[in-house]
Amino acid sequence: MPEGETKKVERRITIDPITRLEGHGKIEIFLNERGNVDRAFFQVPELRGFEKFAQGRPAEDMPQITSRICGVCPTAHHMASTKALDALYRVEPPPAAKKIRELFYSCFVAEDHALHVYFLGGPDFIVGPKAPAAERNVLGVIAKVGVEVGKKVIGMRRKLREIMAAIGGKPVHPVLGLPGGVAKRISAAEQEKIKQIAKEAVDFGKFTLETFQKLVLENGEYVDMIRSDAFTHRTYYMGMVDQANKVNFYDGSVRVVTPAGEEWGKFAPAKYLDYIAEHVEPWSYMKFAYLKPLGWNGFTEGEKSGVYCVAPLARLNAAEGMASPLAQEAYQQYVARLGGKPVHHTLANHWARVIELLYAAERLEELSRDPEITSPEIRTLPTESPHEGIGVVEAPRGTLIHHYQTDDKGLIQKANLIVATQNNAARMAMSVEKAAKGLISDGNVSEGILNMVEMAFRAYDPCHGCATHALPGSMPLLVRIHDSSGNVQSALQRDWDGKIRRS
Amino acid sequence: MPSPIRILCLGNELLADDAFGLVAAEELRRRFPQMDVVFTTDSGFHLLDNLLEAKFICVIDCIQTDRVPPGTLYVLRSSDMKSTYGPSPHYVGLLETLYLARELLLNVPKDVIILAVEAADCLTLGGEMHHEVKSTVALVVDLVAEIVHNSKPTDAHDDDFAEGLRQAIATVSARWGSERLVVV
Repeated sequence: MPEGETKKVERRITIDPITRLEGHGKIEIFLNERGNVDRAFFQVPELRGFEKFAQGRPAEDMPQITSRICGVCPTAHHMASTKALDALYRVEPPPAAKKIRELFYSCFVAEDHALHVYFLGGPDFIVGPKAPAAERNVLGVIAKVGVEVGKKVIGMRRKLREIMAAIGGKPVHPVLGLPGGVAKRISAAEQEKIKQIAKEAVDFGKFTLETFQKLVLENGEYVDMIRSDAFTHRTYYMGMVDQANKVNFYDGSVRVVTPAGEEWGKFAPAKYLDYIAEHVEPWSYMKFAYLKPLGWNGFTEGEKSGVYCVAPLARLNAAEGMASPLAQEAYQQYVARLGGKPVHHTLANHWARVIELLYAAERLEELSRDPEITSPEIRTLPTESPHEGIGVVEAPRGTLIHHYQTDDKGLIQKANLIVATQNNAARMAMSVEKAAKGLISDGNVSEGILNMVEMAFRAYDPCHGCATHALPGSMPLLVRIHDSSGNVQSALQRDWDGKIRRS
Repeated sequence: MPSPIRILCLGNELLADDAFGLVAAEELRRRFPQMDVVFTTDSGFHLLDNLLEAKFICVIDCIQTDRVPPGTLYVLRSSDMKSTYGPSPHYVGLLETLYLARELLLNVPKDVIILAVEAADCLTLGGEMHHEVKSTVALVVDLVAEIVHNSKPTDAHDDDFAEGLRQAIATVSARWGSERLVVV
């Protein structure tokens, strides 16, 4: 805009990750007449056509179909779908089948969390948010923690996937879950191997916690950043809990706590429609989940807002603790250090993830010792006609809901998925807006906005269309500044090679 | 002696044009049964398992740049992409995984060639492949065949692999028209 221009302008800034398949997330920032941020929107396009695609397919195919939706967490979709089939056919799996499923799922969570903690959250915390851009990557992480630690992470991952391949047929798209049970029992020899790997996983979890404490928690600057207002929102929190209100990834009730930390609701997964509704905005494909009894009151915080969030931070807030001793100890330290519950700091997701990694490993170890996992009683055959089924698990990135309705032959008539990104969408938009407000003033768009805004939504790990893999592998960003007529006035771009240029 | 070149086809058979990798893999297997062809819907660090223990890798995938018509084939090399970030698992891809593996001294190729077709739609579940994208399957199969042929697959070295790639691009450009390829 020419200098000295006085007429009212509204400028639109678009931050567009111009990667390929899953890179369609886009941030639009609207400036007011003084050049400060009025509103910021975070757009995530969803996969289209799921309901139509599912229609007419046999329900028992859904664990295989839905596990192909996402190349990052196929196991979560497989398990939520399998549980939806239990409900659809009104069949209760035998105890051994439930334990095998949970054991398998614990491997998945431990593996996923380990990779995230070291190689993905690492650039922010292990390397440091203020480190040069060129170092804020997996190479920077390896440089900081050492090659041996990196190899340890990869080695642990390989062993956990060996267990998953042995139990699930294959590690990536498992063929384990059937309505009423699992497809394969665990042999005594397999149990021995699982026991050994599970012990190593617990040691690895302890090591990870120690590493995190040393590199992150002993650094006051990092802790200050976690607690900073820029990354804080007082919202509701949702997560699945067991009967003692402890975190559970595989089964239980869904519990919701208020921004003050009090229990607001606790419901069986089948009742989710009484508690969760979805709001649509004209500027986004994304449906914004909110707490139905509270209603949609916009992108706002506090008790009166229906905005809530899921994922590690939310799970630790929604629960009253962890169901295993070492994770519980870590949980108590976490709560004490961050000033009590609920923890409202978005960046604490990384710390919560370390605690959950330890819990998943301990739960894996506990189940590996259970004599019942080698029982041949792994299936209850369905005898009822199918009608409707809802399955819920805690995916690494938050509560995942599968809901199917079928005809009496078991062919899907209607299917609905609520994925973690939808649960988090409203709060994520609020985080991006807050980061943008802190970084843009009087029309000056700092280059730092690229990293800070990215950090604001990275903590939630949004699934952008949840397709497959990114090429060229990095995440270029583009900020476009438009005037009210839609003309591009200037652009700030981070390219594939990491260089930032203005035009 | 098996070919030292692995053809790693990526994609998702449920997502319209993203099925390109699978369709190309099926065609390659049909025409060249001895070729080391892998198809996977894996993503992020899960790709690591497919990168290990191969001397050279040629990836077949989709790309969306909105700069060229759907069906145009990009030829990219991982060595041309020097920098990488550490965003979220949903933004981790081939390059992060490759860099990580190298840093951990795992046995992965020095260079990866990426043959990426410009896609029109990778977000519609059960969607049809765009006809121009579908027509590029034959082109990419031809290009892979030329790369393998020109690189003396039984004993390819870094230099003759690079030279083989240049020859293959020249041959296929002449055959299909240079406008069908974008060599980066």
